Amino acid sequence: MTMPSVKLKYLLAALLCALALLLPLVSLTARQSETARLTGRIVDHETGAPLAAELGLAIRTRQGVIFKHASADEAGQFALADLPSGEFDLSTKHDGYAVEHAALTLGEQEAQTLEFRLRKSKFMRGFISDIHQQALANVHIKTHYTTDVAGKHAFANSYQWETGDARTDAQGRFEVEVHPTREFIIEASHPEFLSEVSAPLHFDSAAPALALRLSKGITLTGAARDQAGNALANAQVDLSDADERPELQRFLPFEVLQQRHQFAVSQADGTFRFDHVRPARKQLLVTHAQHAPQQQALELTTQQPQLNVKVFLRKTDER
Amino acid sequence: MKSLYCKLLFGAVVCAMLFAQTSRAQPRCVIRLEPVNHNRYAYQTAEECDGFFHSAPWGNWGVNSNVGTRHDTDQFKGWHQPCTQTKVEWNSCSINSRYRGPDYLNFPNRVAYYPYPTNWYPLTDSFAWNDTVPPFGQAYNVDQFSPCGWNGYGDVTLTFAVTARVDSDGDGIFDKGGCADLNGKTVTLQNNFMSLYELDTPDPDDFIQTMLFPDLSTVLRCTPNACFQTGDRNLDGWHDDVTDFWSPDYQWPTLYENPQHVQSRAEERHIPAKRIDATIRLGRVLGAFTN
Repeated sequence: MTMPSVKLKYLLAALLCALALLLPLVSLTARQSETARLTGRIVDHETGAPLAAELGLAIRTRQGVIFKHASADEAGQFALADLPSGEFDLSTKHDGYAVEHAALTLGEQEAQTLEFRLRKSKFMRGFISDIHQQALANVHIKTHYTTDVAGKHAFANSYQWETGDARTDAQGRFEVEVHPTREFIIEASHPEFLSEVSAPLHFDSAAPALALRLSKGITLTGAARDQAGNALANAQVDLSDADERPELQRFLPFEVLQQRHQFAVSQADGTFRFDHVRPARKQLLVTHAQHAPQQQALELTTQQPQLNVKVFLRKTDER
Repeated sequence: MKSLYCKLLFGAVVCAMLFAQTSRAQPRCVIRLEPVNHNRYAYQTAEECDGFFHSAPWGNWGVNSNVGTRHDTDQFKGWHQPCTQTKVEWNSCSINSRYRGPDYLNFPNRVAYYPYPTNWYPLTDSFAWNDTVPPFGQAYNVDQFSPCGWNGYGDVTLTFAVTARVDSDGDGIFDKGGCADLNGKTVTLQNNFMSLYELDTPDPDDFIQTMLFPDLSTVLRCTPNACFQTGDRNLDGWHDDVTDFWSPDYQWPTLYENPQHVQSRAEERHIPAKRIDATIRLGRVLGAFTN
């Protein structure tokens, strides 16, 4: 009776020894993966004067993305140690200056040096109204620059201090900081309207104020049902644009992109609802556990500001 | 001649290939993360106690952080106006005896129409040391609390090159590629901080205090068309319990720093740097596919 117990004790002891031997190796590996280093300097583009700016780091690793934040000293110098290896996108942040980026890849124990030369930011003014030319207050204004993630740098990042966080005042007016040399678009969004974007712009102090009009869009309601007509609760509903909008490919305005793929979950009575839908050719995809997904093509036009659809899903075992 | 034609033809083919390569749409997944703050408290505020330029003691506060910069919007709503308004103010000068009366504080319940949760006091913050504050009007260490729920104070937008969406089973529905390339990936915000400012024009903004927070993290749940965060069951981008100030996902500060760069740990008594308290978490995480 005692023999198996003794064997078990030996086995346990051996396992513990193996663990004790392996643990330092595991921690060494973990430490080795955070040994990359970045140093550099941040200066004014015109004068070369050092700037005690901040830096936002987005680091793409095998597990996902890590964001870090750091500051340069009064001499504009920064030194970042113990960084994980991976693909980096660095953004500068300094009051009154436009954001500059650096994209690079750091391997384990690799060190690189960078210099950022910051330009003073400019101000862009504009006006937002509804389609009846009534001024709209509290419209969220963001600036978007071209984002190139093709080829070597398959990942990019922009913080709120680059895209801005301006709101229109009671007269519908806004003012946003923009980069003096980069091309950009202005995105206007409001919870009760369809988001809109401007045409591509460059800063021009002589240009008239930008004007954008927001419309309400279309309301699409619907119901998900099984073949017997019973309501399907918790069905996932995905309403997507069927066509691409080439003008959005370079700038990626988030709120507009998000309105190209709208999502809803059906209620207990099977109903779902989408507000502020852009008139366009759409695909409606409804999925539900134990039912085959159902897809419908829809043509939404301003002539029909409200539309109701019914989607019937077949059980997956029914042929 | 024939050789020249061949060379020209070859050159044209190479150019066409290069052009096709550069003009081909790059599938991308764009993800925005928006941290939010909640459980906002203030003690012993001392900004703009004179009324020369300002409407002392009231002021809207802005937030400089690792995800954004301060704006005169709704980054850290107070309690002076109804929460439905924008730029809801705080009492920025509660150390001054002129501004410590019941008209200037919402401790424990200034007036009935502000939904200040009287019954929750003294459970108003994470630390016990300041729970024995005398009644309003008598106290030096006075309390303010914002009943206005969570506030976004910045955001960050990630753009990933992804593979093209694929309909692998031929049912007309994309089931692989696109944003789904990022399914299961972890996103972590480190070095989290919020620096509070009393916002002003025409004079400069007043720095009140910095709070340092633990890391915030989420695991992405992605389909070919979109990404959401774990815990967002109604697919609106917001975590389902973002309104719940008791949620353990809300993180209290680990360190406080005042304008003189004096730092205090959260558990220290009579903390010189601690005049503001708040929690943060990831609020909205939403990704969209585009070609």
